[in-house]
Amino acid sequence: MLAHKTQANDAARRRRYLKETFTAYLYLLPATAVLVIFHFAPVFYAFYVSLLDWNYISPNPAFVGIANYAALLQDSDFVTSLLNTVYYVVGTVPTSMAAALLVAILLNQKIRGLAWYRTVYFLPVITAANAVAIIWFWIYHPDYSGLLNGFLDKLGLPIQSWLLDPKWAMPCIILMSIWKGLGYNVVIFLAGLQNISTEYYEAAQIDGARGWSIFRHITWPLLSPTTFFVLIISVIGSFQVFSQVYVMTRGGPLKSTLVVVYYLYKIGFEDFKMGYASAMAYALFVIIFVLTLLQRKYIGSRVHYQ
Amino acid sequence: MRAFGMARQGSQLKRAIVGIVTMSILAMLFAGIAPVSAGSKVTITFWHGMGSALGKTVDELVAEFQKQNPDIIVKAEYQGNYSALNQKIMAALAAKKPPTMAQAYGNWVAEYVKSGAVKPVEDFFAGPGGLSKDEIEDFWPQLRVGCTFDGKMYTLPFNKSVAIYIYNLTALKEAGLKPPKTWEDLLAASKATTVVKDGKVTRYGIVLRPNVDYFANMLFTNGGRYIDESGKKAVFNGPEGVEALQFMVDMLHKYKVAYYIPGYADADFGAGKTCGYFATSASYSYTDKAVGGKFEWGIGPIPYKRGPAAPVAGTDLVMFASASPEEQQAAWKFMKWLTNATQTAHWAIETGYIPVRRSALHLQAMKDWMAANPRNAASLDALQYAVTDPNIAEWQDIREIISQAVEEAFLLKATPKEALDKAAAKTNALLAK
Repeated sequence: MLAHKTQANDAARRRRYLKETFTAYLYLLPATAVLVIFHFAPVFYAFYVSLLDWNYISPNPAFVGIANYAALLQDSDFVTSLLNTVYYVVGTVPTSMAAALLVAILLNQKIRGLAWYRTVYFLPVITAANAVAIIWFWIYHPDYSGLLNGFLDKLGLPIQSWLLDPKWAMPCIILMSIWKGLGYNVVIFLAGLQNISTEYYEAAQIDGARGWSIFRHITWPLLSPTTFFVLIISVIGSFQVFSQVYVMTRGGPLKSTLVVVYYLYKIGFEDFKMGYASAMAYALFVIIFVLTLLQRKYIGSRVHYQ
Repeated sequence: MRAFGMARQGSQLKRAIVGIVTMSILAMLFAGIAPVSAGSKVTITFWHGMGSALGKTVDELVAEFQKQNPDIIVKAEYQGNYSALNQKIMAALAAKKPPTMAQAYGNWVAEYVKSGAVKPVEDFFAGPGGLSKDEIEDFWPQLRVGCTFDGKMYTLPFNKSVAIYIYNLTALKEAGLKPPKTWEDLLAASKATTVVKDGKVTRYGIVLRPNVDYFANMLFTNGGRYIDESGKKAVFNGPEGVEALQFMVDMLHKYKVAYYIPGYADADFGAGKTCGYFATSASYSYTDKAVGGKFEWGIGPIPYKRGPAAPVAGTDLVMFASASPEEQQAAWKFMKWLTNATQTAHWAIETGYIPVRRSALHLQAMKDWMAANPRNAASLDALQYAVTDPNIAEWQDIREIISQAVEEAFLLKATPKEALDKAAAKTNALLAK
């Protein structure tokens, strides 16, 4: 009798479990379908394309195996683009993070017009990259009529041709990118700062800690999960720099701003060498993936979670 | 009661579904039948890259054609600039839904032809609705070469512009000079119109652009060529090419009468920062707008050293193989009409592109217009010296290779000879494939 009842209960529970699971999958279906169709399928398809010599419209693409990957290693333009990208990442990420942290700490104070300042810092982030690049294009104008050169000239300093000069073009793009991306990191740091319980600060103050030592021993360690997150997404994002280069320099002058994603775009969508472009995309994916794993291993272990 | 209501709703739903399905089937049947039934219209799509004023002229031409051919509907669709146009055509071909016809550069068409996507216009030449031998030869021979792949004519020339020199006539008059005809004149005029104040140049004689087109202007007017007859060997690094590039480098660095910018130069010209630049005949309206009547300006052929030459740029009309026979016939009719003497003359008058047929120059409308606009007529004089780019699929790559060499020389990273030799070696490697 009892055993019979338990069995019936089990069956009912099982039915309910199955029904709930089914419902859950049903709810997941739309998002999953979108991800599979528009993200995962293209990712796998791109890998298949990376094994072809294909112009995108030819009905019979040639299967070339790993030849595209082998060609990447021989392609001096790809190597140049990789080095330029590293230059860009090293130029933007640390500076941008330090500046964002500083601004976030300032914006975390109780000052007048706080909302206004927060808005101002976030404005460049929501402005379209193309519009920003065009404005900065004028700032960097190569003769006396440029804003930046106008200042230099007033100060009696020699003017530069900025984006036309292979030596200056990349620093110009880096500076603009830091300015544009700053607000985003500020908002994340600000959220991180406000997440730190005030009790820690009160306790530290009672113990006599002030200024720098509060930052060093309370804020910095407790903010480290946020800092780590910002680092990871900044590195990933910076490796994929594109719009600034596309609008401002097209990889020039003399390939000094040729970065991987712009080169990939040029090969894939201007020269229509889809196989080679896909191979390049996979190479970039592997590089970013490995870098992210390394960051997790060496920096992630030093993060303090509250 | 409730159950009953649901059942009723259910049956209503079922009826609605049956209704929708029936209607859809009927609609599909009608859609399938429609083109076959008598007196029906054929719709063709025409993708182009003609913005603003040029696009308006395209729309006017389309409206005129439809008036004359009520059984054909032409959907002319602006796709953005040329590189966007090519990207969209490629994507549409990949999706097997290309337009019926489009504007395309010769090197793009080479790529489409390789993939079997093009219906050659030569297939329509025979028969009553076709083109006679005389009519075919009425197209400028240099333009026909650009439309021919493996000995077969695949496309028809459409919007072709010729390279020109635009100058500030007011400034030249002030300097007591006539518009330059030769390189020597050009250098003299550029020196005379360059203004230096407190060690700063406030106005330059000419502005250059570090690209293959500016180089081509100097190369061809110096008797040079890009590639030899075999089509396998670069010759732009010969003495003509080296001298051409050296001349530009000297204007920049030795005489300091020129500067260079990567983008379009009409704004700088309009602002009076430069007294001259090279452009194409189709940029007339942009220059006019930039100058805005602030000074007198003129256009002439590119100044020459060995002999006059007029590099031609612009696209041809291509028809895609996937269109139905009816659509192809309609598209052929439209293409033929668009490039006949009357329309090409009209097109030239409205836009500054050149008439693609020689007989257009003898039309009264064209003669009247040339008499009234001597400035524009100058570019037509250059037509007899027209030279075109090679229409090979590798051309885009080669253009970039040469542009890179020009930039290296401008930046003094290499001598003109070194830069061009390196570019020639890369070009030869591409052509050998």
